[in-house]
Amino acid sequence: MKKAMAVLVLLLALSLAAVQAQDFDWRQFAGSEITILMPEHPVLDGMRSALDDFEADTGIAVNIEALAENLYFDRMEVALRADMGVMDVYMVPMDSTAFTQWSNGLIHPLSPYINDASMTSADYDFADFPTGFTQATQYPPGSPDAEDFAIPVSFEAYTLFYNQDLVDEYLDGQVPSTMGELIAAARMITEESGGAVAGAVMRGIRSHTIMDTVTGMVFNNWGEADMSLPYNVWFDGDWSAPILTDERITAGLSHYAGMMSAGPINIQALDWPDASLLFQQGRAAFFIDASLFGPGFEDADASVVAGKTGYALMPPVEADGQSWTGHWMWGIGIPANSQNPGAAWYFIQWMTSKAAEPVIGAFHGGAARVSTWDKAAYTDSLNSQYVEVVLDAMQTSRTTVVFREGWSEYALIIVDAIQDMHGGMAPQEATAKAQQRILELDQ
Amino acid sequence: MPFRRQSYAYYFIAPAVLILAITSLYPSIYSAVLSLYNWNWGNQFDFVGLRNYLDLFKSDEFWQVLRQTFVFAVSATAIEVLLGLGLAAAVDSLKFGAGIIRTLLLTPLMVSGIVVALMSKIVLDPMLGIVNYLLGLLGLPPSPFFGATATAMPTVIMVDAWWQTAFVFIIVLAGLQSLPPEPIEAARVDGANSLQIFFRVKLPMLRPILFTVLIFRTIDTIKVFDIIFGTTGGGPQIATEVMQTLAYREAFSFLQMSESMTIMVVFSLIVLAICLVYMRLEERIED
Repeated sequence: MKKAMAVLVLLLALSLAAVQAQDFDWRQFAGSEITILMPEHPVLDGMRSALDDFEADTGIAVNIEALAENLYFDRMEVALRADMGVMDVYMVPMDSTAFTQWSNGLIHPLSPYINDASMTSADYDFADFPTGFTQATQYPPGSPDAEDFAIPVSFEAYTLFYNQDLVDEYLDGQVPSTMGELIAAARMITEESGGAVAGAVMRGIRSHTIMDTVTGMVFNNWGEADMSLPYNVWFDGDWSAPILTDERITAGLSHYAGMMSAGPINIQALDWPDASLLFQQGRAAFFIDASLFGPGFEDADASVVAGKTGYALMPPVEADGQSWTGHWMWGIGIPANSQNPGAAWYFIQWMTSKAAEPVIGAFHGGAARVSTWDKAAYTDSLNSQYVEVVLDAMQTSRTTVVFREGWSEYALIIVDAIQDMHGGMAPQEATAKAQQRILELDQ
Repeated sequence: MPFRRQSYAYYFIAPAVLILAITSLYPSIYSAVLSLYNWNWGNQFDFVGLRNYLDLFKSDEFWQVLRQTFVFAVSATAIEVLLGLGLAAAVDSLKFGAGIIRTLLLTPLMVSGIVVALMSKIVLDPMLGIVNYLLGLLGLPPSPFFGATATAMPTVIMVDAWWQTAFVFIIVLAGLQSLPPEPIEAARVDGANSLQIFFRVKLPMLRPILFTVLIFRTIDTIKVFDIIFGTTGGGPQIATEVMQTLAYREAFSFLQMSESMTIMVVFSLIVLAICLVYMRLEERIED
């Protein structure tokens, strides 16, 4: 009887929610016009495909201003500081960039909208986004009164891509099972091919933007040991106590440098577009980077490795050990200087809804809602091995975010340690040097 | 009447001066003021006096970057002027086909800096590019070009030279073609050969033009940004970092606007000093 009552109550609640959702006034801001600033990204491609439906449903006209990614970051920072808002919605890097923006009052809180039934449809289900994702833009960090400032739109875990043909040719089809074996195998392929193909490609440029991949590789060495925000793994509970000389960090950074050493001779000039292009053109056996590259590798029009790309978790440090990784996310948010934040929230809500995400997610393969990964419309559009690996990565993935203003400058020092290792410096010496530089920077 | 004419001239010049003052002078002064603060492009805005300058001058990175800026500027300018001069002299001496060759040589100038950068990244890529493939056909080892500290700076200099030699070429060619024919004819009658005519007659007459070209190219190369930003981003490590990319990184990667302004103020003073030296030299040449 009790069971029957519970089912009845659940059904009533669901139907009520459905009615409320139907009752929700999607045309509250009809006639408004909003401007979206985004980088050219598969998420934007997905949103473009759904734009006509959004405009028809809400009556809100949308102008899209899209820029190449490196230009986007500059434009975003300038636009956020304009006296008169020039954008209403923007793509938020859910890391220290967003934290710095929040610290300076440049980003609009979304919680007041999420918690307002007149502004958010009852079926939006914010809890469908994993807490581990949304906490990257919940401020003040760790506070019970923290508010949300961005909604995740794409999730990327740092995983291993491999070229099946090259693995068959050089490794008899066997993907190395530890990180050490992977580095050795990649070096062997580069050597044996005489440079015709690279054993590995990585982002090798000196830029703080490679830090998330680097952090994923450090996590693989960090294992299940405790890691807490705002410091992540880099500080021991205090900003004045960097722990770059920790052997797990040193090992993670040296693994990154090891993969670089198996790369093409110009590895230090490669950023993500160059590295992913080389892999896509079949010129590299292994590539450790954001899972989001996967769908692009399966695009037969652009990729010679379509249908021949293998997906795997980063190999663990020890045989039969556990693989660990990190994740990073793009979100969308509203700048504090938006001229039309209500309509902007409608755009965010619609584009990140349970109905829209599977459609948009099919363009990038990094859906942020848990429920989307159960929907055939989404998973059928992706390579099944890719889906399996990303879901596995989600189990052991932790955020790469560090809540510190000006983190980029510190991150670049860590990247310099990798560059030093690549240049031949002993790993312990390189991390000791980086540790010293971070201490000096704080003085 | 002459005075009235002069006062009209002031009226005509006034709008340009006003616009320049608003768009150049005001930002320059404002930048200099900001360099005295510790402003992170956010809420932090503390007056620190000359501390940013002291920190900058104490930084090894700054001196390395300054040295590299000069290495780039001097090398690129020298290569471009020598090549441009040689090409102009060669094309000037052609009887047929000079028009077509001139047009072909000018092609690089029609491409923007960032396109040149992206194009050269592909052409010089060790695995996808044609240059290393050709080196291989000649039995030479592949070069990492932008990807190694030893080769990155020479590579960006060569890319700039490929792009901008045409600028020197076209100006010098115009100069050569506008030289008065009498001294050249006189030298020929006196038995001078082509090389002697070029070095002893044409080159001295070209000096003011070469000087102008030198000023333009020096200032242009010393404030290089797009070629380096689009190819190496200042790397590997900081092997190709120059003043402009350093200032950009401080401003847009680290949001340290005051530190960026400090670099730009120092940089502006250096450019100003170079201009003054050139102006003095120009006066001497005219004398």
